[in-house]
Amino acid sequence: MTAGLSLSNHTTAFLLKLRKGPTIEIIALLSLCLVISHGYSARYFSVAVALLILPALLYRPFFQHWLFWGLIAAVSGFVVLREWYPIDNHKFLLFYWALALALAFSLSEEHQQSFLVKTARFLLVFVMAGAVVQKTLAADYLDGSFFEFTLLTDQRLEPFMAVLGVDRGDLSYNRGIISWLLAASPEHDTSAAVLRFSSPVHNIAVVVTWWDYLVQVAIAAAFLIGTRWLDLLGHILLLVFVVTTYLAAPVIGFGWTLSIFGYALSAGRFPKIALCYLATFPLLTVYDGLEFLHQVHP
Amino acid sequence: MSRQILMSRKNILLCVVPVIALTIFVHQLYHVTVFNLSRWKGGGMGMFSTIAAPENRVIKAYFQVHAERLPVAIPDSKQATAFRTEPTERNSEKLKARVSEMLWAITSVDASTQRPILQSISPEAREKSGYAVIHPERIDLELWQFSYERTTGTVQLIKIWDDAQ
Repeated sequence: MTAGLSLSNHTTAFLLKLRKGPTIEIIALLSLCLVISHGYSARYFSVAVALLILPALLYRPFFQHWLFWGLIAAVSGFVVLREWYPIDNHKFLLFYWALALALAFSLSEEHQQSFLVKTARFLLVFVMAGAVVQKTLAADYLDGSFFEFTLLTDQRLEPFMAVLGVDRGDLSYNRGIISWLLAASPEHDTSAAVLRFSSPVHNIAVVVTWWDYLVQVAIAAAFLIGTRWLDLLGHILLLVFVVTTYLAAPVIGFGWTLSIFGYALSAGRFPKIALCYLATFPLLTVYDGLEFLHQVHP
Repeated sequence: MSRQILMSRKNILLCVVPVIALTIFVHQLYHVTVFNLSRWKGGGMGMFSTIAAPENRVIKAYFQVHAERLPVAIPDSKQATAFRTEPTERNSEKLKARVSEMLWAITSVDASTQRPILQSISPEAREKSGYAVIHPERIDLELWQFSYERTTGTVQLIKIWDDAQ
């Protein structure tokens, strides 16, 4: 009974801390989780982080110090420069965010949170507007070609396609075609093949294309204008985007990064929305587990 | 006065991340336009915007040996990834330098075309098998990428880089 009460008290205290606690500390902790679990794969980055975390564990204020995040930003910047071609876009974001944390912690306490809120807003608009610019300029996005090709050939999307009534046999055949073309033996003179598809795929591709495009336009516009109601709309759309997109495209590090930006931006203004962002962390981790199950039992 | 200095310092620091991010973004767009950099890479936030991801690009390589042009499948490497992502003269030369460092030998003959099959071999494999090492007089690289025609469902490889031309 006592243990039960104690647990309940702890849970209440934990939720209160999440809701009313020092936002900047939670932002730093979430960012640290991101660095540890979805940082860069370069060995020297892991070593540098391990070396930095040890003193931060022994002396907690260190992980809210500009030097801690400055060193992480420096190593991140080095990885970005060295691995320019292979790394994904969210690794660039991680570098920007580590730098923002270093700069924020170099300011006096009263300015730290507002600095991070403004940077998070910029980065959210940057990510969404940047994606919209790229999709508008790409030759094969707006006509639905990209998503149709992806829906027909990406193994990760097969469960969703199957639910929508698309034949798994056709999808398996298409992947075989792609592998054959990618095998790249210059002996192959054939450089074209026809994918198998049924007519719903055309419509699904168009819907997915325009949903993805318009939701990013709306999020960018809402956070760029930034009135209270548009911010609220932006947060709701961003949460829907994170919860739906990363179920199909399991780039969990990207999802966590967007959730940290969303949390930083909402914690002072919309505490309930901020809690929803925190809930996306375990949710995306579960998604990651589902992806793992896919790989084991294709 | 000191408050004003602090505010102006904060405002200057606020510009640091946007300036870096936007500079990289413009740099990426320029390289996409001029050098065929894949939109997926280079910090331009262009993931899921086009079929032309590096994974959907294929390198085809040929060795010029005694007036004969022999096709070779080159193994993956950091240089191959860079060339697939952004086919520039510099990345092409780096990949050729990497390929030149490897040992190449005719290991078999393609049954359908009767062409010799060239493969990279380890020094140990060379010792054991006694394969004659091939030294190409020239290496030509091609880069092909997928395009998709949605009215017919046709997926096609299109050449976007050719050293020989």
